[in-house]
Amino acid sequence: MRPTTPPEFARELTAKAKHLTLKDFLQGKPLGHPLHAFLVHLPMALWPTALAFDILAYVRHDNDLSLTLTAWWCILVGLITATAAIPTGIADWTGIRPGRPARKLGLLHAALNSAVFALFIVNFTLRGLRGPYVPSITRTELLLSAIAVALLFPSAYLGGLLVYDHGIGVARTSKHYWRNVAIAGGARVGED
Amino acid sequence: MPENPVRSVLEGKPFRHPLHPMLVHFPIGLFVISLVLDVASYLGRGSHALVLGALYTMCAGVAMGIVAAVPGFVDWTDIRRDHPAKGIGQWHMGLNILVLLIYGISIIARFATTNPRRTDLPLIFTSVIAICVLMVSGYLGGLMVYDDGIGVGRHRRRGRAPVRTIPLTAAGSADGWVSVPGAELMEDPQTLRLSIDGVIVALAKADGAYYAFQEFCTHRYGPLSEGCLKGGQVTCPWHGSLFDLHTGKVQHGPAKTNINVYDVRLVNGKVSIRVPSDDSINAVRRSRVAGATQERDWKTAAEPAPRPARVDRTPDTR
Repeated sequence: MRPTTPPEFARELTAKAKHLTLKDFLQGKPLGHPLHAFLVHLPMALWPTALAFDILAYVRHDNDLSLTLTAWWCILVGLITATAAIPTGIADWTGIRPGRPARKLGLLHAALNSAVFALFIVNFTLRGLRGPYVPSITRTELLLSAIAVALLFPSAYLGGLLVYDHGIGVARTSKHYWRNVAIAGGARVGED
Repeated sequence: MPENPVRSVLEGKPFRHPLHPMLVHFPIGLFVISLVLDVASYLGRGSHALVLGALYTMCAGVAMGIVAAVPGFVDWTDIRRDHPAKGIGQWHMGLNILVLLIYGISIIARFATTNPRRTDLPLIFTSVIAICVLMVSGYLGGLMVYDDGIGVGRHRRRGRAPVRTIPLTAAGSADGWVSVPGAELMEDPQTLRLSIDGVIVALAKADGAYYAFQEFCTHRYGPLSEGCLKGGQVTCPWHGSLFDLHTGKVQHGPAKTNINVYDVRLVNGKVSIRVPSDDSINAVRRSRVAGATQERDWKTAAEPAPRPARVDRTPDTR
């Protein structure tokens, strides 16, 4: 029976929440969308953006605070959201059955991301020690950004392969819907 | 017909990964950081650098959004016309255009602001609204991937996928064979998606042979008509389950249950399929989930004929 009144909706939600495990939450089951894929947009976009602003700041050498400050904020927000994305990624990885090739790929993805994360922590600490309102960056900081982003791209690509090549997280929440469609379409289906 | 190389690249086939989801990180991330910088300029002691940074990232976000729209539109054209994701894709596209328009106006308005050290509050609210719309739109985009598997395993597909479901009926045929109009003109490889009195069948031509089999994988019910056909076998695009098309047997998992395969014949250049009508188990299951399907649009277009009553079976035989 589908809920129609607000109290019914509330009752159904609390009933669902009771059965919800931490892993379910981290996998994004209440949202109906993997949480990891939702969170990674930010570090994935912001860290390359930080590198772009770093390069501009380094090349132009005109002490433009807007460039270095934007890069500083990009790294910071990237670090915060990446921290949130770590447990969700682990939860998704534990959902992959042992022995499947995606499991190894996931480990590689995690290892590369850890390296990127560590590099940006160092990078951010160096900048933090000088203060965010410094209108120039050092060669070390630029190199750290460049190496980290060079590792981030292949790592993110591996993450994309997990979804688009291996189907990790695909039809995780919609399988009941598709099962009904398949049965209505006369298909043979296995045990639920 | 050889595949258009431009289209193939825009669909990300050489990369085994669609291009649109690779690119959308950037507008999403850039618009969010733009708002963060705006808020920082408003709440902090104020800084022209932050106001400028917000403008730069916003402009970059619009530019990347326009770039991402191109492969996104190509992905949308690849979705089957009667697939539920087709409509979701339209909403996704409409909302994204709205977001880009809001940001376009916001950028123009920023040149007319008076305070160089703080972003005006109305402009911050504009960004908040745009990001709310963007979240909804991004969520819809995510649903298309994670619920409907759009773009998943597409790079493995050879040949054309079905553009719509073709409704057919066995009502006029005495021997149960249903002729599939136009099937003799199919390319190799190509797949059609048929609904024969409500039974969804994939009709494939590959390596010179015709195969008919159930549309849905037995693992998580991925669309086999969009799978990879090779050597008399089909691979499910979603999780790679492999089925033999002569017997329907699982060659390797994750699926554990075999698929239904149907008889196909080629007589006088006409392709016809026979779907057994006494499939009682499925008939019971179908009635149990009646109304729980998305397949209504074309069902109303061609109402399936009632199945002939079975008199040769007593209800209690098992």
